[in-house]
Parts: sequence; structure tokens; C-alpha cells
Amino acid sequence: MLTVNRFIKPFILLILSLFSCHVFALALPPIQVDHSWIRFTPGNGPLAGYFELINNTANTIKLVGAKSGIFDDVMMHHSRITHGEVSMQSVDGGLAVKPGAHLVFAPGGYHLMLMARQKKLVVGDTITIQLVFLHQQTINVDFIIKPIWFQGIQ
Amino acid sequence: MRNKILKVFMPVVVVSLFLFGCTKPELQWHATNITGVMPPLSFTLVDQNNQPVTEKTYQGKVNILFFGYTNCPDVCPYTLGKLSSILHRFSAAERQKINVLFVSVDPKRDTAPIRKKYCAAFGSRFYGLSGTMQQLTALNRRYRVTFGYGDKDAKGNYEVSHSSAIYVFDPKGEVRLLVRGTEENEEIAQDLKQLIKISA
Repeated sequence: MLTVNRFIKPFILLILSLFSCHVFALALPPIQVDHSWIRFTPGNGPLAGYFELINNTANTIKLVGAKSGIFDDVMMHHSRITHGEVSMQSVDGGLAVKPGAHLVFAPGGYHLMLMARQKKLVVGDTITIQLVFLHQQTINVDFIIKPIWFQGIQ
Repeated sequence: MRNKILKVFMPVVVVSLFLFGCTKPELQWHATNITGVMPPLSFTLVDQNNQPVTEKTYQGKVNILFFGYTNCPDVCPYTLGKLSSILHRFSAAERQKINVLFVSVDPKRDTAPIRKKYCAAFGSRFYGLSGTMQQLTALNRRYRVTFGYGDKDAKGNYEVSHSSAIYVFDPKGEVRLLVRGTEENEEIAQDLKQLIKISA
């Protein structure tokens, strides 16, 4: 009897610790989006949105677009500097993200192009943008508006 | 005795001068040194109050030249933001010695009030210039860069391609540095401080 009692406590702790790892894994969203921000520009011109997406699922997902009630149109673009010349390309066909992979939208590369804002925006505002994936899967992401000179969230 | 002193000291003096002359350190730059490679700053444009300006308007200070347009959502504000961040490494007094000349190559959309509001967002050292196609082409050509316009979409929006180069001129108007944008902010700040120092 005494021998069994001595092992009960550590045994229970062992079982709990195994389950706690599982609980942490469950806490990660299937499609995780961090560091989401929008660069403020004055006037009515387009703004750029950035984020980092992590695919925590076991399947490849495909980001095909984005929507927002605040902007008439949201497009995905990629900046390019070729032989010292800056240009932008529209991302057609979506962006595939393999299981466990990261997709980064950052200055100088991929960015959401947010066109025709429908209301006045100020630094500090939070805007909800819906990221759209293949098979009509969507997630809502909050983007914070940062000053025009902001260099990015590390 | 005098001959002996001369025989010993003269070679020492000569060798010292030689060593001093040969080992004097050359100025180190983080950006690309393009001194003498391109002509001095020269242009005829209009400023953000639609007043005619030339290089003489801005002479006497370090001038940083960058081409772009305000409807550019990514590279232009990122570059100007980087320059703003760099200027904030200077004291307010030191900052007065630098001008950032943002030349919009999209005069159709970037009117004077728009350029003024845009540049003000980056800081008081930022000037929003533009001009006629002829004036803008001349300035681009002078520094061996180009710009162009993409097709208009259904709503009349269009993209503008332009140079990514950031040219730095000394207070006399001589071109000195080409900033590629991959340098660290602290490195560019050091270059600007050095340029101000040697131009004093």
C-alpha cells in the first residue's frame, strides 16, 4: 500500500504535464496572424497593410484576397526593385502557405493595398480586415494604424 | 656637430612625413561614394507652395534627393520614413543642416497641397517638389534614372515606376553618396554627420 501511494503523486503530475502540452497546442489558432498594422497616409490615397501569418494546420492553405468595410477595394501587391527601379505587381492566383510555414507581408515586399477609404482614419485606430482563403474560409484580423514613418513591428 | 644632428634628424623627419602622408586615413562611408561620378545638383521645379525653385533655393545644406509619388503605399513612405527616423538621430540644430527633397514624378495627382501635407507628416526638413514633364525628365536624366506610368484601371488609378536611389549632395551641391536603402539607419546617420563635418 505504501509503495503505491508514493508513486501516485508523481504519476498524476506526469499525466497532467502530458496533457498541458496538448492544451498549449490547442491554444494556437489554426491560422495565426500576428504583427498586423497599417501605415497611415494623409489624404485619400491608398494605404498599405502588413502582417505575419503562420499556418498551424496540417494542410496547405491559400490566401486568395482580403476585404474590409472601411475600404472600397483591398488588393494584394508585391513591391519590386529591379536594377534600381521600383514597381509593384498585383498578386494573382493567391499565395499558398504550407503546414507550419510563415507568410510575411512587410515593407518592400508583399503588402495589402487598401484603396478608397470610406471614412477618415487616424493613427491609433483599429481596422478589421477579413483575410479570404481558398474554399471561402475567412478570418477577421485587427490591424492597428501606425504613423507614416513607422518602420515595422519586429 | 651640426652635420651629425642634420644627418640623424633629416632622415627621421623625411621618413615621418612620408609615413604620415601615406597612412593618412581615407574617409570611410557606409553608403556608396559617388563623388565626381555625376554632375552637381541642378534643377528647375516648383515647391509645395507652387513657388518656382532651383538648386540655389536649397544650397548651403546637405541635400537628400529622392523620387517617388504620394499614391505609392509601400516603398515611398517606407523610404521617407527611414529618412525621418535617421534625421531623428540628430539634434534639432543639426537637423537644420539637412534638406530632404522629395520630388514627385506624378504631378497630375500630387498637387502642391497634397505634397505639402504628405511631406509635413515626415518632418519639417522634407520638401515636396514637382514640375512639368520636361523638368522632371531632365532631372531624372541628369542622375541616370527614369520614371513611367502604368495603365489606368477602371477607377482611373495607375501605378508609377520610379528610381529607388537616394542621392546625397554636399552643401556646395556636389553629389557625394548613393544610399541604396540596405544600409542601417545608424550607418546613414554617421555618413551624413561626416559629410556635414567635412563640409564645414
